[in-house]
Amino acid sequence: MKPLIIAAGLFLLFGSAPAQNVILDKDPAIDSLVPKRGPNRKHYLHTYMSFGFTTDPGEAGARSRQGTFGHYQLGLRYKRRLSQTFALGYEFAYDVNDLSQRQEAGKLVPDTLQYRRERLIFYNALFSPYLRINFGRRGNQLGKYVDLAAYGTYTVSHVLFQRSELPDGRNIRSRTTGLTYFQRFNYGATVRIGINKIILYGHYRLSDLFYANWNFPEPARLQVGVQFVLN
Amino acid sequence: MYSKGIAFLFFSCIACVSVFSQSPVKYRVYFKNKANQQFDPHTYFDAKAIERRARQGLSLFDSTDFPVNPSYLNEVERRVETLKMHSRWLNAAVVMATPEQMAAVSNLPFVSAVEQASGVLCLPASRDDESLPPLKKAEEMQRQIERMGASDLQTQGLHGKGVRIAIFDVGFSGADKHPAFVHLFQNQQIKGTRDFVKKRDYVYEGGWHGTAVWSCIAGKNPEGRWLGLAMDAEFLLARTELERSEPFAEEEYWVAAAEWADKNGADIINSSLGYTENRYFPEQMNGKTAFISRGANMAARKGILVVNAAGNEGSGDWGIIGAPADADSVLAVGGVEPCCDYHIEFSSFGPTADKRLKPNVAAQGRTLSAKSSGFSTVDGTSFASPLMAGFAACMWQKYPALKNMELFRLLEKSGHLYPYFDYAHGYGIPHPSRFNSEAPPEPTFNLVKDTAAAHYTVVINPSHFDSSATEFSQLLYVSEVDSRNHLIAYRVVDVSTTEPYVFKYSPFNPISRLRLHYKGYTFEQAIP
Repeated sequence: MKPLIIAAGLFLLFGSAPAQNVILDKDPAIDSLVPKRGPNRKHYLHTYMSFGFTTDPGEAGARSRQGTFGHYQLGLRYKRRLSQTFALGYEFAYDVNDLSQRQEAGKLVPDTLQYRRERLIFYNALFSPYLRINFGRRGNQLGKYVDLAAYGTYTVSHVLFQRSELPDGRNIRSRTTGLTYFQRFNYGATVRIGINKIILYGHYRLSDLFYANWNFPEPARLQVGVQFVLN
Repeated sequence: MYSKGIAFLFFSCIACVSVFSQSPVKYRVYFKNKANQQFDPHTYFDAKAIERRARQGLSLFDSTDFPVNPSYLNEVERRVETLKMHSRWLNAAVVMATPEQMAAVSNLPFVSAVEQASGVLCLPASRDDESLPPLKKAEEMQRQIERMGASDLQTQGLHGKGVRIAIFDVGFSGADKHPAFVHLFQNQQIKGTRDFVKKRDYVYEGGWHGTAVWSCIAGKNPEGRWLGLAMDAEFLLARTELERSEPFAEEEYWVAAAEWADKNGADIINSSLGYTENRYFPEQMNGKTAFISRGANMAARKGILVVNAAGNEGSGDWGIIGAPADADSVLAVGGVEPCCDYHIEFSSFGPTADKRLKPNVAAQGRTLSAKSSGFSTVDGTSFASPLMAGFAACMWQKYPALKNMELFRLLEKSGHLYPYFDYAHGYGIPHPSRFNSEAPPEPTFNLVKDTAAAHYTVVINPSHFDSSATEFSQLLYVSEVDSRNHLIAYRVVDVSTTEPYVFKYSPFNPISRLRLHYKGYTFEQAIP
């Protein structure tokens, strides 16, 4: 009932009989209101997508394959402009961290066996507050900026994929969950360098991924990648 | 590993901040005065520039034409990385400097203000359109000038003779060898060229956009048909834009080019460009914020008619005109469809941030133009603007005693909608037959008020309705106007039947008048 009343009200206010074809209808009084939301306005909310890869090998015994994509994010970021130079913000993201373990002598994580392929994947919920420093004059654009951020993640789910090849050429794939040796809460720091909607980021985990009593070496901590602002 | 990571992040931050903040940035430095400067207009100006000033009653000794004090420039240059250029009109210098250097400069006693400028990207005011069938191109080419009275102008021998037009653009690639311009080179109608980007005189490269724009003023196709209206005008060609990127420097090039055009006797400047959201906010489109808009207004103060494209943001997020079309003394030209007098969908809307009418007038927004090789149909208010500049040149040839702003008002007045206007079409498409016509047209409709139903009904006079007319050829324009003559709302109705158009308005809007236009007749109804 309520939508009908609203529609009837709108027709009474702005309606015109449909006998002729209205091909342009503009309302400059409303169109020229100064918006509060936008890339360089007081508030800005946008989604983003990240693709990153591991750059440091990690400690001996837990070395990761470098140079392959293994970090993905789909997030929602809020920015509150403080001035033309500074902004504060926070973001939530679905974060996938895929550690592809190097199969080599001396490997310790998660076991000493060598497989044809081994991946330890964490599906995380991420929260990250940040400070943005903008450079240069700009209009309603993101412009050039550096973000300094802290982040915390909670691992919602995880899986260990292992693939072995038998002597007869057959593959055996295993999928293990319920691992108990990693910490669900992690934290770290992020640096982002952006020009408008394209961002390069470095994502460094400060916390240890594994519980200390397991005596596991730490896998790669640093990931870098590219991020795209979607809207 | 832990400490390595922290070190990495730390140095990343430092490197980023250093790269962005410590490298020299562009600033504009404004001076307080031009103390002790001398100026001889007869050695500085071209004879045509002096003639324009004399014709329009402008002083030859305007302080804005005096040179910038060289000792001020020297003092600034000693304190910055580089001095890029300076402007007499704005009494300003453009420098590359670090923030520390600028702090020192801003403390100099003769510096009135400094402002930062940096580089960003946006697009030129044109779009390609190769999709139309070739057959239609010839019709469109004819229509792009005929709807502005090409035959009337031809009959009167008005082709812009004696009028000097400066064109500011991205470059004029291939124009020196293009068949569209052979007559201009043969008749030595190009009076000066300058590339302000590369600081040289050769302008026949950089991009085809300027070539296409120029052709819409004075180009000719191989069959000898004109693409524009001012084939007898003289030309000054300036490159002020980069094709792929558009840094803030382009605004400085534009102002430098305007001073150059003024010095060399330009009567009209056509610039088919606009700067929008990459640099500015919509609320800054007030004609006073953008450097280029201030320069354009200064050019108008020198007696030059500045014609500028409204922009192609009408269907984008930005939506409105850009700079310098926002300047109050710039004739902003919107685009209409080739088929009819209806707003072409990409043409930017007005008004300015301070509610002034923009665009002022309109011309065809899809034209046949010369390109770096051959001819092509192109979309954009970039091409409506030179059509208008050509028309203005013809009218200035006919009425040489007019001052630039008198011509500006007459161009508006000769629009097909005048005295009706809206923020999509301005006053519409000018035509020479309306240039000095005062005859009121006969009523084409009646407005009937129904107090009980709180609405108005527009009844089209049957003798002014053509049942065989094509779509969008019979348009009723309706606007709600407040007490300051600002439009609160406006609409365009395609009159496809003789049925009355019933119009309701919001009792909550502060409407003081309704204004309607149909087939040359404008009617206003005060709202009690």
